[in-house]
Amino acid sequence: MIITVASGKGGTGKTTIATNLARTIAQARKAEIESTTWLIDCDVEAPNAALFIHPTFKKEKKVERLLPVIHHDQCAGHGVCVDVCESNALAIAGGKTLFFKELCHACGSCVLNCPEGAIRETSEMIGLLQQGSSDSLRFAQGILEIGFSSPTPIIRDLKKWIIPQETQPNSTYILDASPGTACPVVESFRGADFALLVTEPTPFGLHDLKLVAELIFKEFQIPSGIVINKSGRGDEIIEQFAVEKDIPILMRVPLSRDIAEAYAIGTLLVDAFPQYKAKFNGLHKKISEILQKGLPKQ
Amino acid sequence: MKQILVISGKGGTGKTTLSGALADLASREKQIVLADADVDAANLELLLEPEKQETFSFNAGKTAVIDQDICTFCGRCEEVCRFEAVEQKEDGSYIIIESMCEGCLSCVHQCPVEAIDVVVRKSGEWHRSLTLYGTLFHALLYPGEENSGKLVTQIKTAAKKYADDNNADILLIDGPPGIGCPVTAACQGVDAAIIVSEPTVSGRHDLKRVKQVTDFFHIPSFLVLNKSDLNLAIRDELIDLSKTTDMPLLGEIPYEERIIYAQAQGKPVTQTLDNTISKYFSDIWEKIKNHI
Repeated sequence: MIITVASGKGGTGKTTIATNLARTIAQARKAEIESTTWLIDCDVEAPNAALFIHPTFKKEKKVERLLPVIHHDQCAGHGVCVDVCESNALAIAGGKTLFFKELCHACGSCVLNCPEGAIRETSEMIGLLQQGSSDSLRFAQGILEIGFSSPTPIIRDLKKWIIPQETQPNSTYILDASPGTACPVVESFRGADFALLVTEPTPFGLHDLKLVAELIFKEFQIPSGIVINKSGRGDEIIEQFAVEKDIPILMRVPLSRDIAEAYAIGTLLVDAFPQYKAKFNGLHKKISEILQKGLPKQ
Repeated sequence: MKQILVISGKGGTGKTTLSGALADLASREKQIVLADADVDAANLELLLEPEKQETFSFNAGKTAVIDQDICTFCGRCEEVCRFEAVEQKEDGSYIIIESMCEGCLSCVHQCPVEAIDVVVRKSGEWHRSLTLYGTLFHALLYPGEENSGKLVTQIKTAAKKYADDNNADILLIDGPPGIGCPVTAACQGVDAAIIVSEPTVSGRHDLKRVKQVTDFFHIPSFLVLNKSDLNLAIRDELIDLSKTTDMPLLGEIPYEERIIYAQAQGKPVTQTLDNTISKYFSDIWEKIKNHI
C-alpha cells in the first residue's frame, strides 16, 4: 500500500500527518514478522520528516546526472545549443557560450546537437538519497543539492531505490510530498494507491486543496481523503468542498498552541499527546477500509 | 525601482500574509507593483481583491509525439531520452509516455526521419489585475503541469516591464516555497530577499537551505521571524544566525491565532486587525525602507 500525503498549500501539516501516521502503523505492526512500514520524504527541496523521526541512516546513495561542460577552445559560437535547450540553461554573450547549471534539466540535447562537438558531459551530484530506520519504522529521504533546481529526478531515484516494482501486501509506504501541484508532486503520486490531502480551514488552504484534488482527479483517479489540520473555526468551507467532491474527511487536528509548541521542537503528536495514537490508528483503519472497497463509482 | 522577493524554504511560514501586509503598507507611501510567483498555489490574490484587466495564455507544456506512419523503429529516441519517456511496444513500435516526457525535445532533434512532432499545450494562464494597492501580476499553473519556473519568469518579466514603464518605486514579489525551479526563477534580478521563517526545527532547517540559495545568487537577504514566541531557544538561535550570516532581522511576529482567522476576511491583516498586531508589520516595513 502506497499512501501519498499532499496539500497544495505549504505548512498545512503534511509532515506532521505523514510522520505520525507512519510511526503509528510501524508500532502497531511491530509484532508482525514480514511486515515493513516505510516513511519516504519526497519533499527533496525542504526535507523535514527526519527532524521528527530521528532516524539512524545506514545507507547513502548519490544522485548523479550528466551535465554539460563547454570546451570554449572548440566552441564556434553557432548557438545551436542555445536553440535546442528548452530549459534556457544556455546563452551566448559577447561571443561566448554561457551555461547556467541551476536551470539545466540534464537532458543531454546540447551535447548531441553541437556541430563542433565542443560540449562534453561530466557526472555531477545533484542530490543525495539516505535510508535507515528509527525503531520499527524504516525511513528514506532525498536531498536536492543547492544550485541545481530540478527536484523531480531526485524523487524518481528515491522511489526506485526504496519501492520495489511489485510491493508486498504487508508493506506500507507513506510518501510525504512537497507543496504545490507541479511536477514534483506528480512524481510523488505516481504509483500511489491513496491520496491523503492535508488542509487547513482557511481560504488559502481551500484554494490549494481544490488544485491538488483536481490533479488527483485528472491524472491518477485514486481514492482520496482529507485531514483538516488547525481545525476549529472555519471548518465548514472544507466540509462543503468535501461533500461536493465526495471526498471523506478522515481526521481533524485542532488549532492549538500546545501542538505548535510540540512541533517546534520536533516532537511527534503521538509522543507528546498519547491520545493521538488511537486517532492515527483510526486514520490508518479508515484508509485501509476505503482501499479494500475499491474506487467509488463515479 | 527595487525588486523585493519574499521567500521561506518551508511552506506555510507566512510569506503571503507578510506580502499582503507589505502591499498595504508600502502602497500608502510608494508606487508599487505586485507579483505572485507561487504559481502552483497562488494565494496573494485571495487577500487583494484583484479585478482582472488582461489574461494571457501560458503555452509551454511541450510533449513529443511519434508519427507512426513515418517512424522506422530505429530506436534512436529511446536511446537519447533520459527521462524514460520512450517505450517500445511488443510490435516493435515506439511511443512516448506523455506524463513522463519532460519536453526537452532531444528525441525530436535526433530522429533521423523527422517522425517526432512537438505538441504544445496550454499549461496555465496569467493575469494583469488592478488592486487597491497596485497592479498585480498573478498566474495559475494548471495542476500537474511542468515549467513552473518559466511561468514565474513570464509574470516577473511582465511585472518588471510594467513597473519600469510606470516609474514604480517597488516591485514586491510573493515567492514560492522550496528551493527548486520556481524559486530559482523568482530569484533572478531581485535586489533583496526577505526570508520568512519560524522558530521550529523545520523552519530552522529550511531557512539554512534557502539562505544558501540567496547566497548562491548573491542576493542580499533579510529575516522575518513569524510565530517567534513558539520556541524561545530556537528563536535565539535564529537571531544569532541572522547576525553571523549577514541576514539582518527585520522584525518578529508572535504566534497569534487572530492572524490565521483574519485570512477569512480576504484582506491584508493590516486592514483587518487592530494596531497591536498591525504594528509588527509596520515596524517591518519601516526597517525595509531603511535597509533597501
